[in-house]
Amino acid sequence: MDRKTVIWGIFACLLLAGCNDQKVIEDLAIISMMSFDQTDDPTGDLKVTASFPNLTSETSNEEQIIETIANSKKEAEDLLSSKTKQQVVNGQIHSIILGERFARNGVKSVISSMERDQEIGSQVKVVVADQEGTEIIRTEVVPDIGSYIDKMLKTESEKFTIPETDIHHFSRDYYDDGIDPIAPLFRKQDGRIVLVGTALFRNDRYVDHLDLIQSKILMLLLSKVERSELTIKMAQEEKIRNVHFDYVTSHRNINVYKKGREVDHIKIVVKMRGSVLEDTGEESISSTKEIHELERLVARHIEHKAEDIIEILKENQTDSLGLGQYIRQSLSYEEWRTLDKERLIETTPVSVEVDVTIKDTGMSQ
Amino acid sequence: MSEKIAPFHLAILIYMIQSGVTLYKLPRMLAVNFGTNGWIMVLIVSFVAGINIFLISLVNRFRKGESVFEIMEGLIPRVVLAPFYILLALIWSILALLVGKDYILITQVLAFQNSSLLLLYSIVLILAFYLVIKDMYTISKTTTIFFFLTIWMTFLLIYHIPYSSVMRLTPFIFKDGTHSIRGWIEVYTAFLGFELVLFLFPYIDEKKPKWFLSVYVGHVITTIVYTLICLVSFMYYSFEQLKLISFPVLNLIAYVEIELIERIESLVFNLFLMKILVTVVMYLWAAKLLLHRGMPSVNEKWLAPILILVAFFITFRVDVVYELAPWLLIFGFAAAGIAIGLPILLLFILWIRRMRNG
Repeated sequence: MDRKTVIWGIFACLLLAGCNDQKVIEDLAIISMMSFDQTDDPTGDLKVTASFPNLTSETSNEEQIIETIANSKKEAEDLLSSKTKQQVVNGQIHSIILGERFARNGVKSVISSMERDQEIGSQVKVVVADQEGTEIIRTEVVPDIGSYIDKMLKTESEKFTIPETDIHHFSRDYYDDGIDPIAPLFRKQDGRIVLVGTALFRNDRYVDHLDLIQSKILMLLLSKVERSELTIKMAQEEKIRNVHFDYVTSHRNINVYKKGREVDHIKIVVKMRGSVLEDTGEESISSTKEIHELERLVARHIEHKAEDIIEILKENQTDSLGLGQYIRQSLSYEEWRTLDKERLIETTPVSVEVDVTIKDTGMSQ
Repeated sequence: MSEKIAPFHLAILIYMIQSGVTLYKLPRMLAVNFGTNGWIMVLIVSFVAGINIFLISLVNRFRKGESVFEIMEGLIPRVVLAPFYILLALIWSILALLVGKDYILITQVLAFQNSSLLLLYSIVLILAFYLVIKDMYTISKTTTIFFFLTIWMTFLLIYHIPYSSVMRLTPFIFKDGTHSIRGWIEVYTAFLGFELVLFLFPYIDEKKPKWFLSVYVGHVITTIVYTLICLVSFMYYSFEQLKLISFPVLNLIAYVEIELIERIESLVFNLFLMKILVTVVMYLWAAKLLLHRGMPSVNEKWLAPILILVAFFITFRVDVVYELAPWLLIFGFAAAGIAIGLPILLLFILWIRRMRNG
């Protein structure tokens, strides 16, 4: 054999090796979305529903929905496989829906199973349903529910209405002792999928939720916000005054004040800057004095809302804002170790200060 | 004599030998062994490795244009040294093959699960074989190309900055770690590779008197790349999470989502092969050199196949991740011992020779 034959032989081996692990797309049932619900079924406590967009026929867009009862995610995948003629693969899951009852009992098993599974990327979105998760998947309004919810999450998290939560974010915050995870909350309403707000977790258990407006304020308290808007309703002499505040930037600062070696209180300072694009109030806003007055009103309003949220967090002993991380930053290792972290948020006073700057009032005075 | 390696290529070569498959696991190793803010340990271990390189630079300073073999044989007869050479050759070739196998095993966690380990492993070995039978100058040039094909991956870290937070670093330094000797060895092995410069002396363009600086430059590149990756890992993952993730760097790469290309990680993982290949090839090359010196009667053409086959059969039964770990630890430990011991031995020999002559 001369050298050329050897090289061509090796070349052929290398290329042919590609044919070894082949997967024919028509033979695959590609899961686009999965939901997990708690059941009282004797065969298992996990009801798993999966939706498969139909890729085999070009004409119909129908998707297939299969449901099974199992004890774990992987077992469910096996059982799903036995209910379809194709091989079930999970590499293209866009999001997972956690049913309310399931989420209340702790979701760690599913999240760690997703993390361990090498086929599943850590960008898979985590969503909580206000009812049974399977209800959401069974919504028939849209052809492919998986990518629909995916798009919806993307647009809303870009508007800073809801947190961007994927497997990585969820488990990162779950394992961090200074923050608790959060996730978007959905509901099926009149046959449509509606974004309800943010689900708050305590460790891996879903404990409470915030509505959409609160959820927007939570985002302000949570991190830097680049662009969003708020409609503020204020009672003004018998009428309700609507002010639409469109902010371009919002910065948040968290300061931990200590008295001796103990944490005395926490102050969250939010600095916002934006424009007023709608005002149903009686007077026009033209003088600097009126602008300042409006700034003050908007700020007070947001402060009140924020205090409500912190009240909710304290009631549920959950640290969705990651205040624990800031407390940790100000303590020594021994102090942090001995701290009662379960009751940390409940016992620490938190105040919010909002500073609003109205840079313009749109096209009219 | 063929062309010599320029300092620039030497720096790249050193970096490429050093950075290898350990990088995949490095952030977790640091978190488990050294605890919170374990990334700082990269700098400390790098400094220790720097001292190790300084020892080698002393060997370079005191030798009089001799190669390592000539230094040793100046005091001890070759017959006595032959078993020592062969032992070193064996350790290094086994280490090289273990590194290759580790890479394939990790790759198979992610893809090609159904392909046989042997097939993929053989492909790596064939590639390594074809490179190792070339002369040093060609290997160095190839390495330079590989370097430019892979170094850009470090910049993917920019993608993770928005997802990172200083708060996750925690203010605590080295708390919650196991602080074991094992941890030190594991992290030290991530820096190994610079010791091969001892055998490169005759192949280096020594016209520039300060050429040895480029070994430090290579080491500094490694340190920078490692530090950046580990720092970002500690900010991107929460501490307890990092301890649980088998291959944090793979997860980092897999998180990158670019609009234009889906699944960029499949491209990046495969490019990693080049880094691994350089490590494997250089250790095999040094082993080949040692074997040739130890058994000069064997035809030079057969040295590489002999080494690969012997190491292949010794490590044949190791084919699962958890079995490989202790092997890697033992041979990593041996290699670390060689990296520290060999320069000291050489300095000692040089000193005795000087005493005798003087």
